[in-house]
Amino acid sequence: MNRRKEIHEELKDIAPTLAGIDFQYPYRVPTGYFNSLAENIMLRITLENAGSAKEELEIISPLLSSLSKKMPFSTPEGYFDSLTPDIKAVKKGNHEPARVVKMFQPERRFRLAAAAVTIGIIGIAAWLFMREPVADLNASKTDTEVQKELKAKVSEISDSELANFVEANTNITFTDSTSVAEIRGEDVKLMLADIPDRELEEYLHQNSVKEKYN
Amino acid sequence: MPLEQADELLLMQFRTEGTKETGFTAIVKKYQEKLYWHIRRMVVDHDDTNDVLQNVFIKVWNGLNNFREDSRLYTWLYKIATNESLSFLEQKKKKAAVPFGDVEEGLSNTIKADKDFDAAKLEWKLQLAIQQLPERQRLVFNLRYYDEMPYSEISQILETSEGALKASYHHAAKKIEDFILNH
Repeated sequence: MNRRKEIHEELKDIAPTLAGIDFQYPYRVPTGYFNSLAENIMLRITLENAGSAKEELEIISPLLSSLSKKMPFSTPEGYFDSLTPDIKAVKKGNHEPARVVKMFQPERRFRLAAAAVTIGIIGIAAWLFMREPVADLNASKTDTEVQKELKAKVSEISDSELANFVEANTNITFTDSTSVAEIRGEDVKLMLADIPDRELEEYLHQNSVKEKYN
Repeated sequence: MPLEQADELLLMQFRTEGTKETGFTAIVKKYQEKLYWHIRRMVVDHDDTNDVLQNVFIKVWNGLNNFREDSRLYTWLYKIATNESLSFLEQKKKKAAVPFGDVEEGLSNTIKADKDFDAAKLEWKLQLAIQQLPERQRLVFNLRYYDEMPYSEISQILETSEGALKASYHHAAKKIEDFILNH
């Protein structure tokens, strides 16, 4: 059994559909590709082994390598003679050093200001963080001590000043829109309707007793 | 058509000063088509295949003096061609900065862009199906199906056991059949 047949039989067992497909390969190769392939490969190998640029060009294009390399362009008369002194001057150091322009150079005062602001921010932050909490001076004092202090301070105020203070504050008037006189008897009845009689009696008894002593 | 010279004779020509180029050209002519198709099945595009094939023969030129005849020249050449094809695909993946799956999709698109492509024809459908396979299975399938290579030689090229190759070929054939039946 030849190998083609052997592979076909193997495929028939594994994938019968595949075994039935025509063995033809659908891709195409450019005409004459294989005729020149060996030559092209030899050319590449020779190029890779070429020692100098001259040798390389002789392989790539014998015509190009046979041409003269003389440039057909011309330069102004005496151009190279006038170029020499400048080069000599540069070598002697008779030239001004080229100015170095930095890409970004902020002024000194701006840098100092920025540094001061940074130090200030850091300093304040450190002070706020490190300082001890302010003790409430009055917190440690007893009520009697506070009262004593107040009394002492009030005693320093003259009587006339106190009289003026009282006079100024008695001008305050209460402007409640609903005075007791304005409440009608019917309203009172409505307000007291939900209150049990027993509670009302209790209230009256307590207040009448207090009024007697007052 | 002249008779193909035996590898031993070609190697002797290559190793003899004065006939090196003649021997090498004869080797190129003898194996160029087989290697071309082996590479093209992997990289699909003709120009890419040409680049890879030329690199393969340059490597052969540089390394043939060190070739030890404990394996066949044919197997040694296939090994170089396989490695070069895989390196090419790897570089393509790196240059495109895409996962390998996307490169495979790109290869399918190259097939579809072929001027002769005909989706109705089974041979084209087969090419699309082969591109769906993982790289290793694709290689095994191509070497067995198209090159009709015995498992012992595929084993030398891919450095894999014959048992693993048989299993791989089996899976590949099944996957291709499924693709053809469902597309």
